[in-house]
Formats: sequence, structure tokens, C-alpha cells
Amino acid sequence: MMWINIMLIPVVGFIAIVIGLLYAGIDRVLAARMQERVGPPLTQPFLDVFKLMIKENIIPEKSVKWLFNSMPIVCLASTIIILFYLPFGGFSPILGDHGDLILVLYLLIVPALTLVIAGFSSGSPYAVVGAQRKMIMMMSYEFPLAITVVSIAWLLTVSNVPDPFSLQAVTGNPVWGLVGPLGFLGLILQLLVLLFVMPGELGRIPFDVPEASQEIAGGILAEYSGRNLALFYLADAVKVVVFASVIIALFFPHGLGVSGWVGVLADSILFFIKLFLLMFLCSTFIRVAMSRFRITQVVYVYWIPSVLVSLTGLLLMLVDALL
Amino acid sequence: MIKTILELIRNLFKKPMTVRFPHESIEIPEGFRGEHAYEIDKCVSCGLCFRVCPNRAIEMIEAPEKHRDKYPKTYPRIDLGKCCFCGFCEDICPTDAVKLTKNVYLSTFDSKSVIKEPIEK
Amino acid sequence: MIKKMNEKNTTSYELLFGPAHPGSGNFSVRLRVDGEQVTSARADPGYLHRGFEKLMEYRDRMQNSILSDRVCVFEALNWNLVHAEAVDELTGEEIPEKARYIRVLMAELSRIQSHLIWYGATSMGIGFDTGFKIAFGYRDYILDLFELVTGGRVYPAGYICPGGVRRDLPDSAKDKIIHVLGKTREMLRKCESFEKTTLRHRTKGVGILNRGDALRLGATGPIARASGISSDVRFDDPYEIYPELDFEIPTRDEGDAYARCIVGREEIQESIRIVEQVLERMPEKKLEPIKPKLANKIPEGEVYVRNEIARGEAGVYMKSVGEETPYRCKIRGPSLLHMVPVLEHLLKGSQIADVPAIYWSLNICPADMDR
Repeated sequence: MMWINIMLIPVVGFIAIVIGLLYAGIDRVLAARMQERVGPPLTQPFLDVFKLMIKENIIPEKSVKWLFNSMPIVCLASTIIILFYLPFGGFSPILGDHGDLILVLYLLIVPALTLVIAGFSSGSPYAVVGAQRKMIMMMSYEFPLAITVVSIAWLLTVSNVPDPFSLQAVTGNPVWGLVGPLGFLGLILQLLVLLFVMPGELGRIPFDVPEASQEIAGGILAEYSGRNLALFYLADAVKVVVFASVIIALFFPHGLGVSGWVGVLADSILFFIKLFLLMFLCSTFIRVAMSRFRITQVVYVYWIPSVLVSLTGLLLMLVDALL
Repeated sequence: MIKTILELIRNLFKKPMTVRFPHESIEIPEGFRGEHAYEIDKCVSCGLCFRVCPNRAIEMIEAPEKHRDKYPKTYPRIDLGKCCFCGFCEDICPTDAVKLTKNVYLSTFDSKSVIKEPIEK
Repeated sequence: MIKKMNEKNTTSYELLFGPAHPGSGNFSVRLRVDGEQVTSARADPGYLHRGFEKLMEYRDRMQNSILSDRVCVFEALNWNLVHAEAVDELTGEEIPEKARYIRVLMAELSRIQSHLIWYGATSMGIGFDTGFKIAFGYRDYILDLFELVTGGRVYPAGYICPGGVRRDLPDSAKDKIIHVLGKTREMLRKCESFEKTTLRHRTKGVGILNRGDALRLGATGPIARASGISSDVRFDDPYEIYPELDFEIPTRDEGDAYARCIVGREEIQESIRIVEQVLERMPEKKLEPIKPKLANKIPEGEVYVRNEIARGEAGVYMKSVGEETPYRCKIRGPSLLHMVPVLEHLLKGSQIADVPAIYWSLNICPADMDR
């Protein structure tokens, strides 16, 4: 069994990259349609990556070279690793026995951290400003995210589910069935906060302050080019899949319940539909509908309204459990 | 907020404003100032186009050796790289020998094709 | 160690906003930044200098009207009009009635087009991609009109030339203009729908230019009008047929970037009204096209003509000594004062995130500043 899992690791990584890029293509077409444009063909992200791969890889003189070159690889690798702990499609997590929700929560920080280090190591004032902003942003969105995850684990504990932090427990017991009407409302509030954290985690437009191209010329990625930029681009595409999978695992783990390989196939298709809907809502739609926040506004939005809403959700769930 | 969402959803199902350019393109109206069409047989070699050209893109040259019997005078050679497509040469030409056409597809990799000779060699 | 770092003040550094920057044009601002705060700003113009004033001394009036296109790419027709008026005033030529109407029509369409760019660029500056794409898309409808009337999408090649206009309006133009005005109204509706989630929370209270500073630093046009100064050359010093037309001058008192955006949008509405009135009153009879002439001398004299273009007050000073070419031609672009003193004043003490919002809300064009 162990061997099969190890064999599966590159396959899953490859599939994640392909799906991530495909979704990036769909995202661009839909965004273009909402902006009354025709938009690029679906294959455009693949072509972009291909073009970046064959372009010159410029390393600035003032950078810390080993950090500058290693960060894109770490970023992509750490992003793909998260996927092994998450149920992907109709399959159960590959490394599900070895880690739980807490680990996933920590691993989600790693790609963002690599971006920060990449920014500081490139030795450009634009990148430094971007890295500072990214750090501030990480501190802001981690708290509402943590509240949501913990409250779900708490809900599972109260409902006497063994091992509440493991992903099998979370996916095996859909949270919606464990609560009454008040708790249901609380869960919806938690979901909304999580949907709002997603663009921040992905660095999409209202929260793309670290990369704000009109303000700090690409920020963190200002000095990156060629292969290194392509790796960041791939990591960004995979990150969408990863974070959408986290939300699906927490809130929508439902399958069709058909057994056999037909069931696995059907569940995979359902998973992709869910993934697509989440991505459309949290990435594409918010991206075209809003303008970039200021960093002060980002901190405010995450610390005050988001935390308040998710705490209210937690409170409602508590009341619901006590009743 | 709701207005924005409605507007975006309306846009999603609307026909886009842009077209896929190399495959289809918008119609170019009559009177567009594009590439020159020059008819040497109408030309009287007055040199007005050479004198009025604001960018000095027009040069009066002699015809090549083998055509010199038929065309003994000087004729305009147009450098499209210098041309600003103002259309003064068309306006000032007494015999309508120079005219601007609707052709806008002038991008080229060959620097020689930028210069329009009065007579093909 | 910590003390040493404080002494050196390592958090303060210089950030270049332009010339090779996605948020700026061919223009550079040197920002002294402390964390996210801009402590001082220094504008650095001159990247787009093409020497029009000198070039104009070597070209005759029709050739100069082509050059005047390129003073500002986005407002070619307005600059055509300024130049043509300067020469007309020197020659004292009578302009046909219909040509006057066509001049105002094209200048106002050009103003709408320029304001759409303004909206698009401001949206781009605050990271609202949709506004940028939609504004430039709707601008293309107006460019289609220019293509039909003048024969070029962006450069009209001196369509408004000394003595009138280079050719008459085509027959199909009137219906098309009315159609495009409908499209522009649609665009305005879209701007209003998008406003709450985008423009308002990024531009309200940002870059406040109060009335006194606006007067002191020489702001003109929509920038001055957004700071509560009701000044408009079309009204104060009327030219062409503006005295016969009925339009209002929108003003606002707040003076922030949001007020400037609102003023721009209201001006589009007023321009639509003007275009409709012009279309209504336009004489029917055919117009003789104006062809370039050689050895066409400009009478002796000197003149300063000012016009209201989309960005502010544009002026042309022309001195002629009786030759074909002007002896001296000085171009006064509205952007120079907006880009150097006003911008430096507004950027001081702002945040990095507000720099593009302030920069683009001033409706600036590096081209007409550097000439």
C-alpha cells in the first residue's frame, strides 16, 4: 500500500498542475467575458509557462542567490505537498494517515512564507515592500482561518467523532448534518469567512497588495523572470486547487455514494464541479468585481469584520451544541 | 454591491466588444488613410507631393535603366517607414496619381518592403 | 545593534515610480519612502520630449497641424483645434459656419474619449481591471467615429486645420454619432454601478487638493473644478460656437481623487449634451474640403490662443514674421502644472498604495507636458 502511495505522488502532482493551469485558463476566459472581451484561448496558461521556461533566467546582482533560486522550487513543492494530505477527487488522501488538519493549516503558510523570503532575497525596494506587505497580510488572514478550522474540529469533538482533527473524520462526517438550525447559520458564517480568506491566500485582486503591479511594479515577483517565474506561476495555479480542496474537504465532502470505480469517477467529476464553482466565486468573480485594497484596509477587513463574523459563527455553534 | 454583481452577470452573457483579430476584423470605412496606391501613368512628375510631405517621406527618383525610355522624368519613391499617413500627397496631387487605400496591414519583417518604388524592378 | 540600525534609518529608501513602471506613463516620480509612507516626492519629467516647438518653426501651417496631433496622443483633435485657432486668428480668415460646428463636434467627442481614458487609467491605478478594460473598449466606439470622419483612428492628421476642416462629415456620420452617444451613456451607467465596490473606498479622501492650493499651484480644468474653482475657458473666454450652446460646468468642493472622478463623469454628460445640440443645429449644406497649399504665407503678428481641453487649459503662442512658417510657436500643455507642483504637493505624506490613484486621478498626459 505504501508503495502505491509513493508511486501516486508524482502522478497527483502532475494532475494538480494540469488542472490548476486549466482552471487558470477558464478563469481568464470568464473574467474576459465579464469585462466584455473575447479573452485568450483556454491553453494560454500552458503557453505562458512554456514561454517562461525557455526564456532567460535573470538573477539580480544584489540578490541572495541561493535563496533567490531555491524559493520558487520550495514554493511549488510545498504547495503540491499539501495536496497529499487532502482528499482529491474521489480518492482518499494519499498521506492521510500521517498528518491532520493542523498540519495542513501550517503547511498552507509555507508557500506564502517562501514568497516573503523570495521578496526579501531579491534585493529590490519594490520586492522588499511587497514582502513586508505579504507578511502583514499573512498575520491578518491566519486568525479567521484558524477560528474556522478549530470550530469545525470542536464541532466534531462534541459530536463524539473519534480523532476530530484527522481529515478522514472531517470528510467522513459532513458538518452540516451535525448541527441544528442555529449551528447551521453559524456554519454558513464560517463558510463566508473562509470564502473571503481564499482570495487573500491566493493573492487575487482585492488582496493582491504584495504584487500590486501599479503600485510597486510586481512587488515580490518584480525581479523574477524565466524559469523561476514559471515555477511561481505553477505554484499559483496549484494553490487555487489546494485551497479550494481545503474548503471542499471542510464543508462539502459529500460524494454521490456510488460504489466501485464508477463511483470514484462520478465523485471525481463532482469534485471538479465543486472546485470550479468555488474558484469562480472566490477568485474570478471577486477579481473582476473589486479594486485592490490598501494594506491598511486589508488588515482591517481581516481583523475586525472577518474575525467578528467567524466568532459570531462559533458562538452560534456553541449555543446550538448547548441547547 | 448588488448593482456590480448584476452588471457583471449581464456582461457575462453579452456579446463581447472585441473580436479575435487575425481571424476576423472590423470593417474599415471609406476614406481611411492607409497604404498608398501610385499610378505612374497618371503622374506628371510635378513634385508637389515631394514638397508638401511633412515628414519628407517622398523622394523624387529617376526610373530604373530599362524603363528610362518610357519614363524619362523623376517619380516619387515613398518610404512608408517615415510616412505619417496624413494624406497631403493625395490632396495636393493634380492628377490623382497618388491615392491612399484602405490597406492597413503594413507590418513586415522585411525592411526593403517598407520602401515603395515607383516602378517594380 | 538595534541602535545602529536606527541611526542609519534603514527603513527609509528611494522608490522610483516610473519611467519603466506599470503604473506610470513616460514619466518618473522619485519617492522617498519610509515603510509605506511617502515622505517626499520629486517629479522627473522629460522622457517624452520630441521638440515640437522647434519642429514647428520649419513647417508651414498645414504641416504644423499634423504635428499638433501628436502633442497629446489622447486628445489629438483638441490640440488640432488650438493650433488651427491660433493660425486663424493671425490670418483673420472667415471660417465656414458648418466647419465651426464640425470643429466643436469633434472636439467634444475627443473630450469624451479622453475622459474615458481618464476613468480607465484611474481604475487601472486602483487595481480595478474591469473598469480599465471596459473604458478602453467603449472608447473604441468613439475611435470608430474618428476613423469614419477623419480617416484615422487615433491621429486625425490635422483634421481640424487652419481655415476649417479637411473634409466634410460623411452622410452616415450623424446616425453613427447618435448610436455611439447611446453607448457612452451605457458606459456611464456601468461606471455608476461599479462605483461602490471600487472607486469609492480607494479614492475618497485621497489626495485632497484644497481651493487655495489649487489656485496657488496653477491647477486648471477638471482638477481645479473638483477643488471648487469654477473656471472653464469655454465659458470664460468663449471660442468657436460655444456661446450659442447650452451647457453647465460641473464643480465639486471636496478636492479629493473621488471628486475629480465625479467631475470627469459629469463632464462626459455635458459633452454628450453639447454634441446633441451641435448635431441638431448643424447646417445642411455641403462643405468644400480644405487642401494643403504651398507658399501659403502667414501674416505678421503674434497671438496667444487658449482652449479648454479635457485635461485643462491648453494654449498656443504663435509669432509670425510674414513667412510660411511661424517664427516661434510655444505650446502650453495643462499637464505640466498638474504633474510637477500639484503632484509633488499631493504625494507628500500619502501612502504608496495611493500613489497611482493620485497620479491618475490628475488626468495627466506626459506627452503634452514634455512636448
